[in-house]
Amino acid sequence: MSNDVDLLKKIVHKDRDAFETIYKAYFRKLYTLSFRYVRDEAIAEELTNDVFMMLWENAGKLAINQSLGAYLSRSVINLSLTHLKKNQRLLDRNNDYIKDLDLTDDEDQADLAALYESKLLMIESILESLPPQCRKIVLMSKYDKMKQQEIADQLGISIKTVKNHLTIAYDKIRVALAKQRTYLLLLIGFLFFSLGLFVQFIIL
Amino acid sequence: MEENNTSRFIPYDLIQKELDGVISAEERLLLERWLSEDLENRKLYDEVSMISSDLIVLEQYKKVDANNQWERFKQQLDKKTIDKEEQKLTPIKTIWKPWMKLVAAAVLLLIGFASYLNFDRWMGYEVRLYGSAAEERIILPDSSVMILHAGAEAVFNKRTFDQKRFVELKKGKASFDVKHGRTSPFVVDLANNYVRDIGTAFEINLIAEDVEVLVKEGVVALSGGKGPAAKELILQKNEKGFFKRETASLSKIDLGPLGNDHKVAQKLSYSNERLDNICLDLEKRFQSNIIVVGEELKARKLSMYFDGQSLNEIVQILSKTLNVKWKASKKGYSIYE
Repeated sequence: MSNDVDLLKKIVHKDRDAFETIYKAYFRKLYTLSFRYVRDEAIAEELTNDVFMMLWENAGKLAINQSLGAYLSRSVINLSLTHLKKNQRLLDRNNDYIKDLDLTDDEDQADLAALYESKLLMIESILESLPPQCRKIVLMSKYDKMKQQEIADQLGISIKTVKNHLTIAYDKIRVALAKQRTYLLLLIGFLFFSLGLFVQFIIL
Repeated sequence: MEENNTSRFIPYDLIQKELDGVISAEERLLLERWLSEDLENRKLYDEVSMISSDLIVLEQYKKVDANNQWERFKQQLDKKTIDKEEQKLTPIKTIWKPWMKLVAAAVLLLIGFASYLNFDRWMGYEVRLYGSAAEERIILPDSSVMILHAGAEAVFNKRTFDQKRFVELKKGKASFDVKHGRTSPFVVDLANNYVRDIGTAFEINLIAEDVEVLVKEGVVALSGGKGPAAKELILQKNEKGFFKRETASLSKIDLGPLGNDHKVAQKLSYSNERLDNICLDLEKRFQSNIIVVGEELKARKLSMYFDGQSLNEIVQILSKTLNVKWKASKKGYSIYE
């Protein structure tokens, strides 16, 4: 974060190298976050670049009260939502995606792009840990947009096996994410508990 | 918590089909039945839906090449920077085309010239006066007196009057009683000439573009034009000077002592009238005698207009017009060749 502050100061003075560093560090995360809402590669890219352009042009005027990551995340989400509101058709189509990210309680202050990235990376690592056949079926279903019967036909297995593999994969991902959320809650609880103890110790 | 999540049946394949939009009516019925079984199932459905969505986003995430994106964005950034610089320069280029500079210079010059010409008026130094029927006495800054007759208009500059005693008579009739003992002359500026006071009191009458000056006291110089080279006609007391703009000629007549018989005629007009008839009419109007000598002279026809002149003046004007002689005696006037 302190590094971001230094870089931001340089950007105020139109330092291209500093801007490049920020761009490369944040683009992927912000683009992904925007894509989550708008579901269109070109629009997500455009909106993300708009955020960077705004940063480049107005760095001196920006009043950033949180981290740069949090600020950029909020900016890209706002732009994406504004874009969707302007395009009713997209809004109707993507309505299911415009739900809260449900990544943290304090969405205004958090670097949502970074949190969402970590969630995606976790899903990726779970996919990697799946048995090869199971992973292949998920990839064929999600990325190749193949129907369950088509997958079964191509792999020479029964449709029931395909369904079983999908169940295993989704279940694993869902449980892992739930676990992570639980750990996170436990960690926060522990931190508050420690803090309480520390305060009590100081008072006594 | 893990046990709770895993122990519950979740129809992943149906949810996936629903999300992919390939679910059959029968399968949808099964899914809806499952959803209605427990409120928790809706939550599970949303979780699976979110995972499904995240899997698609994950594919996009893996495709992103930040370096490549930067190269593309850099071009966009460069273009924007150039555009901005051009935008900064454009207004100057567009506004200051060479002809515009000329126009601007001309406008400025015009404004400057107008300011120079109207400086006194805009600053309130120029005093513009109008005559009224009451013919009030106007005391000028040097204590000279000016009387403007009805319809007359005069202007003077109170800022420069002490150095340059100039009164501009624009139109009408005005009388002046000039205060002396000053180094600067008192000049009444007219459209085509001027009247310079040398003596004391005089009267100026502007008739159309011609000028009449009657000296009541002292000496006055009536010019035949403007500038230092202009010819001047010196008028003594009781002399009336004329300036005809058309011919730029100066002339004067001697009115003699203005006694009780100095009666003035108001607007006399004669059109192609014989001289003897004119004189007959004048005799009636002025109760005086006018003898015209010679039949030929009597028969000469004239078109004349008089306004405010005395008989003496009218006789002199008639004589000058006809280029004949005149004489005044106790009995009256004689006009002869």
